[in-house]
Amino acid sequence: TQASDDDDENEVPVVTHQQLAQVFDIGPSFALPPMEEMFYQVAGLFSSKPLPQSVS
Amino acid sequence: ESSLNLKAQKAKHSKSLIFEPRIAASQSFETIYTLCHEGFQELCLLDGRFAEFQRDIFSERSQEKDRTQLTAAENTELNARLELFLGLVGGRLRLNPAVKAVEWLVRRFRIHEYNTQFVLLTFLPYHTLPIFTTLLSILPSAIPEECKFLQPYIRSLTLPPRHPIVQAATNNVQFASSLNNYVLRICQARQHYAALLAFWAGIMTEATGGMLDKARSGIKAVQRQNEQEVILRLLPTLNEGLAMKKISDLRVGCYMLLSVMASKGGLDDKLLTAMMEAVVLGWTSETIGPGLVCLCVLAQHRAAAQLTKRLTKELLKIPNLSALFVEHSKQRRVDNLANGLCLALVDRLRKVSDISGIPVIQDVIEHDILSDAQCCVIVKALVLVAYQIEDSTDAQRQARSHLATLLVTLTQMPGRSGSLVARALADTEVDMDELELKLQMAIRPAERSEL
Repeated sequence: TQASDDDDENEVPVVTHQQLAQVFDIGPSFALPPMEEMFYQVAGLFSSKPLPQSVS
Repeated sequence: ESSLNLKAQKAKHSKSLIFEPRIAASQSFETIYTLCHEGFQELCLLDGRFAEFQRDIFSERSQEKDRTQLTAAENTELNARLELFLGLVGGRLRLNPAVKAVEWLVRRFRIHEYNTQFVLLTFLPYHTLPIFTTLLSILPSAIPEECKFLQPYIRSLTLPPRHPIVQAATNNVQFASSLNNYVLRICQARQHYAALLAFWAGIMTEATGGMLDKARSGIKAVQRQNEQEVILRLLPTLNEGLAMKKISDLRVGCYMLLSVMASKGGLDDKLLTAMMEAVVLGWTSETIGPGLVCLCVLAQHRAAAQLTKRLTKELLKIPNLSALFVEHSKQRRVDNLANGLCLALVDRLRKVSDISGIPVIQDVIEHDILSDAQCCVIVKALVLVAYQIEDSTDAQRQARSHLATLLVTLTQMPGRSGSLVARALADTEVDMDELELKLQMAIRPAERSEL
């Protein structure tokens, strides 16, 4: 995981089990948020941070 | 011996989802049928698809149907009917009528013994509800190997939390495959429901992450091979899942798995490209939004190369593509996808004088979506195409004129994009004087040409 820090052009975040579990382990299956919402959370965890010019 | 036999039969007859064993043991099939059939009728009112089971597993005659008297072929046929019913009733298991109806399958057809795995998978999304413990309490002592992780909960008759299910899906290849196949089968029969797909997607997303982490924990030499094995095991499920394009939740669940695999799996470009194509093929208005985000995630792991024809074609069909790029770029890196698309569009300009991609290229550069290096490469590529393009056909003449206009617009942009374009022009190996002469247009900003 340290190696990816050198490659600051495309830094892939390290996602822990806990972070992923927090998306899904929030209630019984029949009371979970819509799938699309959960997908955006998962994709958010695995996405590289936006380029600096996009957030400024 | 016959009294032992009778005792065993009585014990079997006492297994029930509703009644205490002592009461259950004393009930006649007629009594049970009457009660269970009420539940079944209520289900029929909720969903017409239940009605077909009136003619066999819920018919009057079903009261006399004893599995032990059926031939193997008849049992196989019966299993198919029972599982079709279970699949359909799966989405309703929180309702009393559903439990009553399933009670008939338990009492008359002993599904907990003969169809243990299917019944367990049908009930598993409800592992947080008391009905699940009730099911555990009536299971035979020998349960399928892959469900052995439930053994401690069967012994203590407690509800399994989510974690051991994730662990089982991570560590037990057979269980993961059964869960995947169950979900695909339910979807193929159009019996899916939101809770099942949310349950499956959550468990399998976490399990996929876990499997890939595990694959990478070994010695370096075998890591790659282990990763490949995990990916190869999951690909058939993804292929089938993505193919059912109308089941949006299933598709979006597949996007989750793809995102995890791309991020943790060290996939090669060929596989990433194939996955990206699978995402765009068959996406619908409901899945295009998450699909585009999934593409962004996949593309960030792919080498910065131009997108395939198929990907380019499908992306260009999105009417507000540039706006979506801008929106997503605030949350995550979208530059590899946008760059790959621009490279493909420049290539189309060069090869077939296709100008349809010009507005997208302009937007992508104007809105600062690319990295510095990517932006310079695209601008230089545009300049080169403008220089090389012939003017022997109408299409070429038109492309040349549009390109010239595009280049002028780009050089006049303010801010970061403007200075990147200026840098790219200063850096290009194309003779700009010659190019301007060729295009009969001053591309570089006026103050420069005046010098």
